[in-house]
Amino acid sequence: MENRPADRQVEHIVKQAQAGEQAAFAELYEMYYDPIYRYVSFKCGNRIEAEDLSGEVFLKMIESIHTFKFRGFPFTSWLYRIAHNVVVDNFRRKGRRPTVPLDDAINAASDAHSDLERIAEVSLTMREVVSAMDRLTDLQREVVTLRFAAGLSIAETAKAVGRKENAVKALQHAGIRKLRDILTPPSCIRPAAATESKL
Amino acid sequence: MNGEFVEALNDCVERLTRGESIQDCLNRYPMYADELRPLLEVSVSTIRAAEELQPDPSAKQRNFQRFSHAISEAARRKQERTPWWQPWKSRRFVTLARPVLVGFMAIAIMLTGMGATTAAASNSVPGEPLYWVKITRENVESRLPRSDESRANYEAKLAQVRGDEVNELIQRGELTRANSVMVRMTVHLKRCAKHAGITVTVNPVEMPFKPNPSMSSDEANRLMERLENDRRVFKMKAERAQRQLTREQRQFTREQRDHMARFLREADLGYRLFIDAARSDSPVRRPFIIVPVQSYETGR
Repeated sequence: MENRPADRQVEHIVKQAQAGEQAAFAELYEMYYDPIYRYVSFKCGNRIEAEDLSGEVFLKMIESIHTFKFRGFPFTSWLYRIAHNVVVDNFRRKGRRPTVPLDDAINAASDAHSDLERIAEVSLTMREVVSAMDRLTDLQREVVTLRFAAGLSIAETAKAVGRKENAVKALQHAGIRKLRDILTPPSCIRPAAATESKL
Repeated sequence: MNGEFVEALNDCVERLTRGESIQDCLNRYPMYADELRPLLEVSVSTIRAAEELQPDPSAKQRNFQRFSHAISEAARRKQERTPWWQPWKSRRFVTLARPVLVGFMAIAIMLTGMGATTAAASNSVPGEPLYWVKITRENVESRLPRSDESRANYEAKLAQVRGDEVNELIQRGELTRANSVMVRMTVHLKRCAKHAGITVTVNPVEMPFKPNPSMSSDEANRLMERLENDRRVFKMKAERAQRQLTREQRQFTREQRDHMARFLREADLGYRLFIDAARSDSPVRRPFIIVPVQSYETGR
């Protein structure tokens, strides 16, 4: 996960954006586009769709950023609520739930890397993980996605899903345990073991 | 669920996202190591899978262009603030004014509807569906604060309205209703006299009320002229109604016709009593106007 900006820095940038500073908007875009894209990709499972929806999230942000107030509610949580609503609206429009992302995700990965063996491993892991995510409950999937794909803290995740922190920890635990059950046999988690040494 | 274990798992996940290894985490919680290991391995797999999801740079750039364009549009809209002399063009005005306008329109429609109903009711007579609207309006208006002169004129007007109703009911042959309306007509005339400071009664036992000192003689004269005119109109309409009845509705018995003529005369008497009292030569208005019924009957 990349380094995340300090809350005070985010607050400063958001206030500038609320005042109409175009540079501040651009900064927010740079800060949040990638994690938002990962979050949306995990949820909708389609690269093209994820790109469109990520763009839509930021357009919605422009529309409603003037309504955002720093009253104990992190900007990140607010932004991911927008992302969640955008994804849900997309599902409603299309009348389906997300399925396994597979090929699109693999393409996304393959764009970024040239090592074919590693691509194969990553693709396999991604396919299995995203497939397993689909079998979690909605809240478990939301918590796991926000924590692992978007990199939100427990506090931010709690605000984003509207639950208490302890409840989010319990959901996270249940989600990971369920993922472990689904992803057994161990071959599925081979890339993790392979990458452990790098961590 | 073991709360400590959940906390330990969460702590390990936080550490993994910061780049620590699984083994480092397990070393921190040796008592949960066996249970934590598979969960942390899955967590690392998930984190790694997510990290591999990198957006296509060209798509990111494309989205950024859309984003920049939207920012520029928003800024342009903000700069194009509505001039103060054209407030109806501003978005805020629309947002604020719309509910107010809708409210005003609803009230206007309601008032128009009420006005239409009241107008329709103004020509109604007892027994018709809208008559209660007419009476309610009169009751409300009679309670409005106004001068004695105005009250006297208003009661005179109501007496005239009742007279029209009497004639209309007679034309329709509804004598019972006409009779009761006639009684109310005399009540209005009596109230009119009261507000004008004139005692009109044929009952010598009835105590006179306190004369109204506020009405000038000019005002009293105008009121009298009005009442005389109303009396003439009423008599004319009553005679016409009787003639029409005689032409069209032969089925009335003689007794009914006599009855009808009697209460029309009584209604006329209400006017005459009032006018006679007001036209009295005495500088001080008499407390009692004693007009024996006999004298009226002989005088017709």
